[in-house]
Amino acid sequence: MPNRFLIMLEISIEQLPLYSSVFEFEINQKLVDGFQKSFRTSSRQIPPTLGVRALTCMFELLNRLEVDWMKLLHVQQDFEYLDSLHLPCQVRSQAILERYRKRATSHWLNFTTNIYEVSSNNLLLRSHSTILIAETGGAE
Amino acid sequence: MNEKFPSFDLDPITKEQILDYADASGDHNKIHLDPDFARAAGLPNVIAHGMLSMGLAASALEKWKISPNTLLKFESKFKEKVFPGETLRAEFISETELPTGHKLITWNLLKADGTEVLQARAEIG
Repeated sequence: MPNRFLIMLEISIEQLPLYSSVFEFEINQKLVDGFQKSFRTSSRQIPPTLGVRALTCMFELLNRLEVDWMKLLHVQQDFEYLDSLHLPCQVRSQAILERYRKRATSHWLNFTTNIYEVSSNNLLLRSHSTILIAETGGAE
Repeated sequence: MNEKFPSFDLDPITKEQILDYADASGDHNKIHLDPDFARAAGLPNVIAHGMLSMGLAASALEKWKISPNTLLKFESKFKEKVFPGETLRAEFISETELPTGHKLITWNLLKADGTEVLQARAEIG
């Protein structure tokens, strides 16, 4: 029986770049405090990884590709800080699957997620994520 | 021991902490929250989110008194899964000056047995 996941992915290569839906949310002190609580610190600073909230867009694309989450590895992640963020702030984000390559039994996907301030349309944050999907083996 | 960037231990990772991170990040994947699901996937227990480890690695920046206003880029390469009960340690590797005049600080997050969990890099302007 053919692997449905692979078929979906092969089709999507021709469609690159692939765009997620636009996701809008508020960054406020409550959200910051939630992250800092999970890091077990008393800091009230905006954590550098807060942009993970926008990766919902990337997950939406992975779901659309019918990726098997048990075989997914988040290999690399970065955030570029492009403008100041003042709380509270309404932002919108969108993920783009920009690159796909297959090596042996591994599938490599490169996503960029941009986060804009809604009121100014300024690009605040850019995220790059490298995802590996192995045809065998478990994942992060 | 580097005096400017001293190594430090983090509190052991707990299941409650993973749940708190799931709520904050919105990532409620069962591999992080449901032990039965994790075992069915061949794992001994739930695993912490890689991004939780990255967030913990970022605590080094505050500890080393690097102003968040100077942070231009923060990067993480994930190397190993983290399970509840494990203790992580942040260890400075290097500080280099880039041609732009920015500084690049590199450090590791390690398990108690020395296994590398992730390598973090921060570009400071």
